Amino acid sequence: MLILKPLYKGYIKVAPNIIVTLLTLLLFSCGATTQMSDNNSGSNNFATLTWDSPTINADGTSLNDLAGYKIYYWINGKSPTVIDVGCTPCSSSCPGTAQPQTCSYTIRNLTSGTYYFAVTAYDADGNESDYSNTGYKMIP
Amino acid sequence: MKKYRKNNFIVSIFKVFLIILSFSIFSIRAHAWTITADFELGTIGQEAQGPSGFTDALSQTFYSSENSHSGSKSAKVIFPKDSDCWPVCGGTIVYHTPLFHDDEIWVREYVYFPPDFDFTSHPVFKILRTARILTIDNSPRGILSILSDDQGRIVLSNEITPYQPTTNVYFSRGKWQSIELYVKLSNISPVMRIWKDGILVIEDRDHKTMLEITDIVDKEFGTYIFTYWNGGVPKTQYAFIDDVEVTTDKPLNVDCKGNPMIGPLNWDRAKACGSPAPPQNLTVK
Repeated sequence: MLILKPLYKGYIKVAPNIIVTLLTLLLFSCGATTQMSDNNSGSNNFATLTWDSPTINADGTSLNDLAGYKIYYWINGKSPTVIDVGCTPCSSSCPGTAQPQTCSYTIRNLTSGTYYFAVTAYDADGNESDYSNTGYKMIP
Repeated sequence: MKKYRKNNFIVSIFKVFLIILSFSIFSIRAHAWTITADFELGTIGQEAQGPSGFTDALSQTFYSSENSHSGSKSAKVIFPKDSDCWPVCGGTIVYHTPLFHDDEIWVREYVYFPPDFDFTSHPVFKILRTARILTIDNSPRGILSILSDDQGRIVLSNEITPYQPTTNVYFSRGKWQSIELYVKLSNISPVMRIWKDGILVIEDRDHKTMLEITDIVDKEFGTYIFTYWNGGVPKTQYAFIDDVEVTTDKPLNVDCKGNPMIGPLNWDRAKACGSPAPPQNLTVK
């Protein structure tokens, strides 16, 4: 039996097992909080992009030499970062004659901020399409 | 005899009048013109109107050196939150002459929307309005325009017929883009085309751009750029306009299908037309 002295007015008798329980709960909650915040930053510092592959050239002719994709992403007011992701996100329709397909690519380890994204396609001669529509994600 | 002479004289006067009238109409119609606005000659911070700017810049549209497509200046347009934009955002360009049935007009502008530009509207944000059609007695029939829907997609708008299809092509954010509208004014063989960066977005040949052969295009209305936001601007934001060109003179550039267009500056047809179409429906999670 431990006897704890509060700041004022007498004493409170507390069983040691209660102290242990309280300490355990305190440690657990600290650990859990830490774990949760790690999970939060770990799960939210990426952006997964999906898009539909083009099947034609700008002039409406069949696109038969699709060679890959570039992803542009930027924070407002900053120059874009460009990643040439090749055909990786759309392996069943690239390279070669493009087929309708939904493509997907994840960019990881983004630091805090609001990021904007656009995707372009390019052919075997290096001709690059216009931007897709722009998407965005806020990284906490 | 005297009466006969008098009648003959009146008929002669009337004939002369008709000849002068038809000659003057022919002169007006034969005179093609081009108006440009590159915003290079204005004073930074002043309303973007004058020799190298709009005919009339609305109150929150200024010469700026913050961002330009070519040269060192452009017009910066402020869109205040909740404003319907009139008479606040954008500017107007008055034409040199009215336009008549069978006339053609091309209007190209460069536009920059920042990456976080919010297109939310109820239901549209008016990007480029280029021909206000009037009846012979000056009653308005409607306007031919490019609009944005609330997602930032390009919308063709023909208020004459009316017809307002939404395309699956988006205005770009975070980069300069060339936007162009072509109209052939006709109730028999009408055409409207919209290009983005020289690539045809939509063509419509099925809807009249004039209802009667006597309709005319309002010279004083001319072209309106960014002048109305239906439902109010969702947040205070801005955009830039540069290198505006309006012409009734058939341009030398042609698009991927051979249609005449003003086109982007330094248009490289082979490169642009041989490039893949852009990916569609990007989502980010």
